[in-house]
Amino acid sequence: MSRKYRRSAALVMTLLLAGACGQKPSTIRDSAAARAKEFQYEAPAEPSDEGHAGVATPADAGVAAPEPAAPDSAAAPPAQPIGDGNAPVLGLPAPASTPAASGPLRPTRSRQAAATASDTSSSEPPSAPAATPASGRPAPSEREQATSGPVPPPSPPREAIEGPPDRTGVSDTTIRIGIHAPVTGAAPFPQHAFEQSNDLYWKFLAEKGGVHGRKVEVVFRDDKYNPSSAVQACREMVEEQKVFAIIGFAGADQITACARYADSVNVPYFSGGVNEEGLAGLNRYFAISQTYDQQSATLAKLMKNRIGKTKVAIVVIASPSLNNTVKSITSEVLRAGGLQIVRSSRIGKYASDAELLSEAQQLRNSGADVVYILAAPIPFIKLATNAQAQGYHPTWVGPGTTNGLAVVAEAGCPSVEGAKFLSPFPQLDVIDALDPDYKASFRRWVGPNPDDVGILMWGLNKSIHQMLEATGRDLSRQSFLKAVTSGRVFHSNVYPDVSYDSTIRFGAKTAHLLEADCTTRSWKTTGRFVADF
Amino acid sequence: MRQALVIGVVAGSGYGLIALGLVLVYKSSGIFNFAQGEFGTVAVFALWGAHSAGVPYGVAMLLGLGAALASGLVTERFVVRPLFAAPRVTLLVATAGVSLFAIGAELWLGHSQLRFVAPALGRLDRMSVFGFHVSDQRLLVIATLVALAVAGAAFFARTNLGLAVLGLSQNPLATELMGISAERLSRFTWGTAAVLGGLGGILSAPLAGGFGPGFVTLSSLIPAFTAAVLGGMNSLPGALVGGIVVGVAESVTVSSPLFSEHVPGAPSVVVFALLVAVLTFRPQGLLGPRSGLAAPAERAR
Repeated sequence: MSRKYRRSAALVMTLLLAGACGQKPSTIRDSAAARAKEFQYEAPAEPSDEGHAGVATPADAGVAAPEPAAPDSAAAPPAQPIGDGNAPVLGLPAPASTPAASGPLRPTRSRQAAATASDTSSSEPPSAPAATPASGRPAPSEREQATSGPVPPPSPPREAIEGPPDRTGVSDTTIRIGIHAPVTGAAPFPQHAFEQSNDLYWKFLAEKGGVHGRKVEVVFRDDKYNPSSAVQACREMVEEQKVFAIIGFAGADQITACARYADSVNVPYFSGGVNEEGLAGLNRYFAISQTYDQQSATLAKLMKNRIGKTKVAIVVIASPSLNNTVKSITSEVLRAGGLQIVRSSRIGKYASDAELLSEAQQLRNSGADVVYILAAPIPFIKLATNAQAQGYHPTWVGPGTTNGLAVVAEAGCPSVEGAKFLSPFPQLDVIDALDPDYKASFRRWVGPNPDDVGILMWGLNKSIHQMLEATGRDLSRQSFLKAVTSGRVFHSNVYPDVSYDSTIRFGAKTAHLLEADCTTRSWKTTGRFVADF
Repeated sequence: MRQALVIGVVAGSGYGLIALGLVLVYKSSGIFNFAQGEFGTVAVFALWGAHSAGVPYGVAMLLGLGAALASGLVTERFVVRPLFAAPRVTLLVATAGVSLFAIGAELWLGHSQLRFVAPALGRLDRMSVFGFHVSDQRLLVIATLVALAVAGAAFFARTNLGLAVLGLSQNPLATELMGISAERLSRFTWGTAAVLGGLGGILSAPLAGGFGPGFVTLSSLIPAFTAAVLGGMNSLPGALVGGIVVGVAESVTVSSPLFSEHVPGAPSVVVFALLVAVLTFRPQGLLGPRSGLAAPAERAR
């Protein structure tokens, strides 16, 4: 073999293997640094099962010390009614120094700061913002966040709101919005379903006069479940398609990468809730449903009070963006009391057959009754299938978005029977009660069989519509941001209510609960807008 | 640890099955075939399409293998043969292009959607080894791999056709002067490799829980390439051994609490380190002959 050929083949192999690892060297380094720092933290003793290999304690899992329980969490209502802006926080006291502490909304941004504060062995709540970030300043890197103490809560730079109006993507008759989602890769959304319903809500709205007389155009791009491709897609939508704002549907790494890019070029960015790490601190980022971290408390109570089993395993994709989510769910499970973490592990984003077989076997050996899973649909389904092949049938629970799609129940049954996922959107069984316009619109513009991908798009676009409506006819990025961060509650009755202000970017407080029903190979909505169990 | 070894053998067999086709093409033409995974994906799509349309499973499997064979022959005729005199690097890139084209076509024709196929054999707990249940489908993969690796080794060692394929790879001109048709041999090699890829895809898809465009390429091509290089790119039994080594390395890594909890992407890193170690200390691979380091066709030049 010629040297040139051998070198080329080696290069291709190396690049592909590096890709398969799912890690850039820098991110691995940063993650390792963060891990090393976590191990320095000395958590108070918490109940743990020392008899099991892989048992996670707050200290060995890198978990922040559980905060004291809410003074009267038992008094919290079991489910939050729609539009209730005063839902109590699940055991997460608000930092008194933040402006939101006295307001009706949970200052979810504070969780990031609190976690970081824990890393510095401080039990004090984070202080008020020290300084307003400059316009277009990139968010602090993970390393900066891990080493520089509490991150100041974000607030939109003055020039973002008061500068010369930026009307990119807006004309007298149209508003152009960009959307990216993983159509290919390990979390494939059904492309056809996406294409046929991504502008369904806007068609429905156009008949009613549009948004202050403007129609909304949608530009859709596949991010390939890859952060680099996601940034490429977002860059193309910003620079060539001249979109007004961008929406990311799912995929923590892709959303984080695109949100950072969008923030750097002053473009408003919305996504379904994913991680908080890496997104907190961005001025133009808004989570339109609960983040994974926010869902942790609800899921812990679901495990304890609804499922009623005690041995819990935690399996999370090995992405640095999800380090805080691991801390969060571990902390909440331990805080719930009566639950025992018997295994905590990270699996590859593109986990191989051997990896998932081994993981299934390790879960079985751990004796976990409930498995918290935060992974893309394909690894999740493979893991569940492998577990079933071993005669192991835990209850799978997790945060949503993608695992709550009907296709996961269809492909994963019977392995995922009884699985419970929180989801920002409800399923077809209750959509008529929540929004009777959806099915009728779907049948009119798309086809005879409404699907849940359509609900996902419909609900998210409906929330964005509320924000555009609140902005008024004089639409610019500045006026839009001002309206979005005004503290007003945006109510779609499909997605949870959301509200943002100058410090809060993770503004949802509830989610739907879906349960896999393998007799129909679909998800049933067993809880609407729930925040507690 | 014993369970990890069993899991490694079981999972590694799937890699070995894909690696067999890679080794076959490399052994006969010196080409790293990046389209091998897509031969498998095409077969899975064909199986799924036929079975969904009501065709019996066995017939649908044959149709899947037929689709893989057709895609292999088309690749050989329109991509490989016109470029056969070109540097191997060009062919490497060309096969990567075929793979990307196939994924695009699958997206275009079949849309990005998670689909699933039932296993050929449904029993999940045929046998238990050290507490690990091995399903009928997994046993089928292992048996197929062993049979094909042995048959492949015998084919090259004991048959005239096998010798002709080797002759073509080492000196195409001399082989043709002996009256052997290079075109027919090339067609035979690529067709066989495509069927091996198809078999790998069809047998592994039911174990994966679901599949979509690029399924085999995304899930198995990298481990299979690693297995082929580890085992020795010129050795069909080496593909078997390499697949199992990769599977065992991954499963042992996952079973280690140190790695699974604290090192992101540890299984891939360990496999990569293993690959580097083998290539450093035994460049011809675990079962490859010393002369096997160089691609046959390039040696002739």
